[in-house]
Amino acid sequence: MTGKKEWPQGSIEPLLLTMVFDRAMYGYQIIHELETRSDGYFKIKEGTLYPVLHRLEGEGYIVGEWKSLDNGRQRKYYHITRKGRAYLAVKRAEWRQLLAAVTMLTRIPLLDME
Amino acid sequence: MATGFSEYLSDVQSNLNLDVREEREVIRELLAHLEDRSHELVANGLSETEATKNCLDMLGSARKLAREIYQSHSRANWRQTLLAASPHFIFGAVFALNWWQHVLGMFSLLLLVLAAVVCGWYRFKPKWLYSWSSYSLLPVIGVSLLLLWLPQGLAWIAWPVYISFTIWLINYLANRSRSRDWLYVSLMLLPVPTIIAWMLVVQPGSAAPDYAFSKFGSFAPWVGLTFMAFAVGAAFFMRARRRWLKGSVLVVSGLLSLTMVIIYARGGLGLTAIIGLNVLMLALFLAPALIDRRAKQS
Repeated sequence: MTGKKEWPQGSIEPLLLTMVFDRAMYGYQIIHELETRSDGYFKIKEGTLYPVLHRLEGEGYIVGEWKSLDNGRQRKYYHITRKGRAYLAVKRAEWRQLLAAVTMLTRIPLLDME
Repeated sequence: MATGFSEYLSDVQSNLNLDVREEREVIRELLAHLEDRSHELVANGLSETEATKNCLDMLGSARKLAREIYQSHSRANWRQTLLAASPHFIFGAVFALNWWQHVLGMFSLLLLVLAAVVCGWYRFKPKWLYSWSSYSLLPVIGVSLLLLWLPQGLAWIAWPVYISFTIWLINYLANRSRSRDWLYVSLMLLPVPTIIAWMLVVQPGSAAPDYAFSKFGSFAPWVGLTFMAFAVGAAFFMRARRRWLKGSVLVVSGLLSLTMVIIYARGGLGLTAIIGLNVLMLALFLAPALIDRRAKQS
């Protein structure tokens, strides 16, 4: 994953789960959607995407299913499972805690550091 | 498909080491991705050649991608891990608790093993099948036990025939398992040197069967312990993601079991036998890799 700034390790899995939370998507679509929905902040390297998707599938967090597009081409669509939703809920709670902690810290004037 | 894609995907496939069905699915998915990306780039004004190069650059090294995808698939779930460890655990318990003397029970156990192997072999060849298959080789090892009682003249004829048959069998099994990573065939062959080592310790050919039987009884708990070591090794093997780690687990558990036999035998194995068994273990570990490599090259 490349971004404008550092991002906590292990965040790629929950991000991908978030992408397939509402509707099934295939790999290439996920890359585009993630970039679009984060206003260009998150850009996943294409070589990183598939190993992570397959790992999530192996863990039972997502399920892949081949479907035909309107043009007749076939794509492997991934959708989240119940186990994936439960895992994502835990990760989201962690993110909220992290965000709350960062917000609290950035509100305090860091006088002694200046 | 562009030639660049074809070469790249073939490079990925030859380094995946997954089973054939999984490999096909991975390649199909990557091809779909490359086609999507290429169409988009061409629509944005790039030439076909530039688009192909750009697509492949975005995916990165074929070997690295193949290795990372392999690691995503290589860890078995807990159910498969338990199933892979269970035959070693069952046989370990049978010997450790001295149940091996119940002929009917042992016969039923061997039937169960054979049924599981036949069922697994002809259905999906699941990952756990290979450690069960180790015990379907017991009749082959049993024949070698019978050969020890042959008269001297006949033994000179029987042993070369038997050894040739065993080599053919290993080659056949490795070829039949080519749809799966060769490390699984090595996992299957792993207990063979240890079982032979125990047979050499008991030396059934040098004494009356009753004596050999009672001598084996005194070693049985230790035999059980070596099988338990295989159970632990098989579990680690199934849960490891990286290939080098899987290979190391096999070598370490093989050497550990042989060392346990040497310690418990208390001088029952000569130096030649010890060296021979270690060489056999390494040969059985590497033979599937060589057969696989030769088949891929041809």
